[in-house]
Amino acid sequence: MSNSTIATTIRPHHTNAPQGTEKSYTLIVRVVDRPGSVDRVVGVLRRRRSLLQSLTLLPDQQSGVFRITAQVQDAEVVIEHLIEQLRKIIDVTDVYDSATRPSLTRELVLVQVASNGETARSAVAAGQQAGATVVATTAEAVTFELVGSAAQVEQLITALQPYSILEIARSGGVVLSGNVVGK
Amino acid sequence: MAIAAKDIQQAGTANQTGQQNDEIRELTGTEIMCEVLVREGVDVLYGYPGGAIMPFYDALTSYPALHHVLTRHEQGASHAADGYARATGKVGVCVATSGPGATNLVTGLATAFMDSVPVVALTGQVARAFLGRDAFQETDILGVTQPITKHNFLVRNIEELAPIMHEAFRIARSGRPGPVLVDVPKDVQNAKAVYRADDHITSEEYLDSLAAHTQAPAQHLLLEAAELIAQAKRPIILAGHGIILSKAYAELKAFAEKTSIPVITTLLGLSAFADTHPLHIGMPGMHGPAHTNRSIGEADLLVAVGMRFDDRVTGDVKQFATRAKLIHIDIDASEIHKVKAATVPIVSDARVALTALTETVQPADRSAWLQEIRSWEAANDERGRQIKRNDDIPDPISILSAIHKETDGEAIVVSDVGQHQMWTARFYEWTRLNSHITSGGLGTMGFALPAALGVKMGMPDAPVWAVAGDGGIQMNIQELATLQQEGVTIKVAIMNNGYLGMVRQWQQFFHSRNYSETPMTGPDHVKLADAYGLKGIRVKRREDVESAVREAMETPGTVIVEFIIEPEANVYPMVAPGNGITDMIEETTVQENAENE
Repeated sequence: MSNSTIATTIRPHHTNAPQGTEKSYTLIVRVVDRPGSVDRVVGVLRRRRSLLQSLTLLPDQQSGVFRITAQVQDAEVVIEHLIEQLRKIIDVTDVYDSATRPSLTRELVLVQVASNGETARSAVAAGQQAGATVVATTAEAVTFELVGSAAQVEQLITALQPYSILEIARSGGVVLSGNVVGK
Repeated sequence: MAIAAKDIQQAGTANQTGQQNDEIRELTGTEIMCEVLVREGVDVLYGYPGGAIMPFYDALTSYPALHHVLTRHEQGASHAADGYARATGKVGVCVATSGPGATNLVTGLATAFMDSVPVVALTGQVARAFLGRDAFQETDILGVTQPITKHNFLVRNIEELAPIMHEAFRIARSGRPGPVLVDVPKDVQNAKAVYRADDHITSEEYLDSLAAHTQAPAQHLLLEAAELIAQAKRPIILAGHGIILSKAYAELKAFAEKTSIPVITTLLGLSAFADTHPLHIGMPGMHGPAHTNRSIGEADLLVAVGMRFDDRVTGDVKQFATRAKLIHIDIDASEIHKVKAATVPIVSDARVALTALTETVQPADRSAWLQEIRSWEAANDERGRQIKRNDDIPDPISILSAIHKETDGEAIVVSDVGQHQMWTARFYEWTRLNSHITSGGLGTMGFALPAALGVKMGMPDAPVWAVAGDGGIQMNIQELATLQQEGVTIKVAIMNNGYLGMVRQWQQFFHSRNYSETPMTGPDHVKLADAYGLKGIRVKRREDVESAVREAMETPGTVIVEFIIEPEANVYPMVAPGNGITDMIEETTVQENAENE
C-alpha cells in the first residue's frame, strides 16, 4: 500500500483504491448471535470505508450463528486488510473471500412491470426469454421471479427495461462453498 | 445482614481455594461478579456508584480483598484502571453505573483501546424489562463503545454472567490487549445462580496453557528475516509498545546486541530499551531528533517490533523509509501491511519472535553505521541549544533532569498530552524499564493525574511523577481529592506557560501567530493544593528547580509543584503534518524567519 506511485481513484466516503485495481469481492462472515455482534461486523465494513454493494444476513445451519454475505467493491490489498479486521472481532468464527474457494453464488430477484392487454404478452415473452418465471399477474402488472447469478439478474433487468418497471427487489447474493465445481 | 455477608465471604474463600464442600449454594449476580474478580486476581477497582450498579456496590463490602477506589469522576476511574494496567501488566478494572456513568468511561476506554491496554469495565444497566424503552439513565453503551472496545458484552441472563466475566478478562489480556466492557442489567445483578469455581478457568490459566502451545514463527520466515538482516548495511530496529506489553526487554536487548542494530523506541516504546544503551538512538517522528529521523531515511532495513507506523511516526508515508525493506513483527495480523508493506511479515508475540530470531541471526559488527548516526547527532547539539535559552526561568529540560536526579532515575513518569509530553518523552532519560506512561494513540488531555493514581497503586514502592501542562491538569483535577482520601502519594509537576502550548505552537507555525483561544489563566495551584489538603510549591526561577523537586520528594503525601515556564517555548524539532519526517522545522530556521519578518 505504501510507497505507491500509482494514481488512485477518489471515491468520496470510501477507500481510495489504486486505479484499475477495484474488483467485486464476496466475503462470507459467520458470527455468533450475541448483542452487538452483527453491528460490529457492519461497523468494520462501514468504518473501513469499503464500498458495500450488498449485505445479506441469515441464520446459519449452526444454531446461534448468523451468516453474513457482503459484496464489496475494492482493491485486493484493502480486502485482505478488511478480512484481518473482521477476523479480529471476537464473535466472528469464520471469514473468507469466496473467490478463494470453489463457490456457488445465487441471487433472487423479483421484478414487477406495468402491463396492459397490449404489452402483457411481449413483456412475459421478454421475461421468460431472460430465464424468469411469472409469479403474479394482475390487470395492471406482471411480476417475474428469477434465481441465478448476478449477471443473469442484470440480464433480466435489462430485458425488461423497455417496459415500465414498477419495482425491483433483490435478495443480494448467497454463497455456498466447498463440494461444488465451477458455476 | 452482617452474618449473611460473612457467610458469603466464606463461600467465596472456599471457592477460591477449591475446597468447597458438596453443598451447592446460590449466589446473586453481584456476588458472582465479585467471586470472579477475586479469582482473576483483581485487588483494586476504580469506580463510582449509581442507581443501576447499586446491587454490585452492596455485595462489594463483603469482599475485603477487592479494594474499591472512589474516583471523583468516572473518566478518572477509567484512566486510573488504565494506568494500573500499564504499570503492572495486569488487568485494570473500572466500574460505573448506567447512562452518564457509563458514557463518562468512554474517553478512558478509547485511550486504552488505542494504546492496547487490558482494562475491564463493569457497567450497570437498567433492568431487562426496561431495555430499549428510554428508561431513566438508559444508554445503549454497547453501541456507544463498540468502536472503542476490543469486545463488549450485554449479559442477557444470570447463567451467562460467570462465563462472560471470565471471558472478559481472557479477551482483555490475550493477543493484542484491549478494553472489554461488561454491561449487566440490574435484575441480572439481583438474580441468583450457582457459581462453581471449578467450572471456569481463569484468564491466567488460559494464558498459561496458551503459552505452553505457542510456537515460534515459521522457520522460512525466520530464515528470510535473518537473510535480510545479514545483507543489511544500515538496518534500524523500531521498538514499540509491544515490547512492553510482552515484557520482551531482555529479548530486544539480546537481539540488538547480537546484530549491533541501532534501536529507535517509539513514543509508547520509550523505556522498553534504556536511553543510555550505546545502541539507543532516540524517538522517531514528528518531534523526534533529526539524527533519528535521518537514520530512518537512510536505512536499508527496518526491523519493526510491536509498533504500528502511526502517522505521528511516519509523517508522509510516501516519503517514509523509502530505501528500506521491512521485517514487521506484530501480534495483530491486521497491522501487517496496513501502512507500510512488509517484506517479511511475522505475526507473533514480540518476545517469542525476538527469541527465535536472535537464535537464527549471525552476529555482526555495524559500528560504522552507528558512528555515522552519532556524527549527525553530535553536529546538531539540539539539547545544548534548548537549555541555553532564557536561563533564568525554569525550562523543561532542567525540570525533567531534576526529577531524574532526585529519584535516581527510579521514578515512573506519567505525562499528559501536549508540549510537556514531548519534552518529557525527549529529554527525560529513560533508564528504568516501563517507566514512561502516556496516552499515545488517542492523545488524551487529562490522562496524567488519574493514570498516575493507578500507576502508584500498582507500583507502591516506586516514586511516581505526573507531569502535565496548565491546560490538561484542569481536565481531571478533581482526582486530587481521590489521592488525598486514599492517602496515595504521587508528585505532580505542572509546566505552566499560560497557553494551550501545543496548539499555540501550531498557530505560530501554521496560522500566522493567530493565537485563537489558546491563552488561558488558571487557578492559583498552591492554593488549589491547599484546598485539597495537599502541599503546593510554585517555582519561578531556574535555580530553584532542583530544590523544589527535592522538597516535593521529602514532603510526605501528594505534592503539586508548579513551574512557571517561558510562555512561548516550542517543541523542536518538528515535522509539519503531511511532510516527510526528514523535513524538519528546527529552532534556528524559526528564529531566522522571525528576524526576516
